[in-house]
Amino acid sequence: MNAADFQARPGEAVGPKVRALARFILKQANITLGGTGMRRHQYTRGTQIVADMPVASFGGSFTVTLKGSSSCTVGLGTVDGGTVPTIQDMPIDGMVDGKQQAIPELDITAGPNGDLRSWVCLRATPVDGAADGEAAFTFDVIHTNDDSLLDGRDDEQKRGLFPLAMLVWTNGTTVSRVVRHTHFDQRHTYDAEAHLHEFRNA
Amino acid sequence: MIIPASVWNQMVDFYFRHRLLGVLDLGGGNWRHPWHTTVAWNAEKERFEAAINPGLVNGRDVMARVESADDPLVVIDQPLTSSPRIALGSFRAVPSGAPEFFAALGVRSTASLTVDDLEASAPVDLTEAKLAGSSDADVAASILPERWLKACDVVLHQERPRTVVDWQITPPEIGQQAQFTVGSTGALAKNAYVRATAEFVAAAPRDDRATLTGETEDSGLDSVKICTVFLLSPPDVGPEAEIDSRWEPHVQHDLFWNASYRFTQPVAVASQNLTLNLAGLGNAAGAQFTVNQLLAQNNDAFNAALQFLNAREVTGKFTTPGNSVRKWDKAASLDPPFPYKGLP
Repeated sequence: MNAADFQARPGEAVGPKVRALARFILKQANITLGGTGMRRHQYTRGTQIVADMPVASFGGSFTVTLKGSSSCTVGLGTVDGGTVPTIQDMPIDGMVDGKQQAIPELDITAGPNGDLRSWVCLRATPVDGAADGEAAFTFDVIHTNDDSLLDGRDDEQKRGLFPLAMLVWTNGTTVSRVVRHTHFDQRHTYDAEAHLHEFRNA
Repeated sequence: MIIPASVWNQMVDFYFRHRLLGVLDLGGGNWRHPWHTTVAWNAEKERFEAAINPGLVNGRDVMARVESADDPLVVIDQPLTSSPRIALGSFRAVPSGAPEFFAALGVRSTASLTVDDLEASAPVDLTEAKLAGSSDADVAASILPERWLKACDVVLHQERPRTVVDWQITPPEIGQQAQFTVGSTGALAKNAYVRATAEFVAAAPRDDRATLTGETEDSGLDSVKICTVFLLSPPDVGPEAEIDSRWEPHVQHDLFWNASYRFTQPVAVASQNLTLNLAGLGNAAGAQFTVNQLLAQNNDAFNAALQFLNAREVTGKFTTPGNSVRKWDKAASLDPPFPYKGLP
């Protein structure tokens, strides 16, 4: 409806128009509020609407989500542009040859260290005998409670770690909090001379 | 047409009850970036305290020093994941150069903000431009009661092995050899930690000569500012007023993402001989060629010693994702808009 529907021609009785306009105003006043976080506060002097809308949290890449107390999943993230890391040989997003498989879960039953901390890490593993043009590293996601190599130094097999999230445990079996360390896809480089893996946001 | 008064009044009442006074948007959302700092007044201890959304360094906890709950005289280190409240006890006055954001709140001494316009060859003076096109809001800001600012900085520190330069044979004034060793001492704290300080001063660029001679010692500490906490005075006090609950806290962040920290690996202590041939300079004052030759030899010796030190010096650096800081309207907001850029 618009204003023309309530306008009267010269000489026309305005009564029906007034009633129609009144009905319209009352109908318009009944605002339907829907959704979480919308509240209507109604007073004799008027209505106040308070919007406290929940918004989607900033997700980013490699979102670590607990699945009970013994495992977690890792949201999609890539390394070096297109490589999706794996959990036990399954891509973390569960996509194999274009088909959606079950999202792999990472076992965290190894528990925390003495400070009640453990880490979900991206691990770079060198590929022996990789030819030119082939990927020199594979990437998987592991759980560890050893923080000695979190700064990127390689181990005896020249593998390197990059923390995706720190798990805060209340005891040996219960995780109370996941503190994310990265929010971005990653680029990986390896300095063989310095024995240092470096991950930077892509 | 006759409309009964009761019906009319009912309709008027209905209309007024339903007329929309306004919509209050509370902002919503619960995501806060790492290091996001909130400041609140602790009425019991009569001080402002900061709470920092946990950030990590190399995936590890970052510690904060707080008073023990059992004994306020005892300080303990707690991880940020335990939500410690950090006392802000020391503030500096901000007599000039405050962010332009505060101009509209009555602070007169805001900085003249200049940014490089990427499209223009000359910098753009935003303050001047703003004054040229001053609006009613700007005029209103200029007649507000004058208010004052105090500030402190919250800083992230990481300890690392410290470079030590030790001269066994000091550089002589004339002739002979000098010998020094370069070594390192171990770091004290494994985890990074935060501290509040009245003013954070970033480390000055290294003075090669002073470092080589040992006049300036390596602190063994790398630091980066997390945020600056500004306290805005109530409008009815002077610049020397004590801080109380009426002061308004505002936070300007410098760090938005978890940090990586690396330092060059320390090496075993090693020594270097340095030969200075200054002896001939006085005698050869008239022979410019000889003087130049000896000076060149000494410069070579100095540079060789400096390279020896550089190769063994322990240095550290914080990095966060991203490699640039986006420019933003500092008059409208203390922090840049999302997405946040990081430290190079």
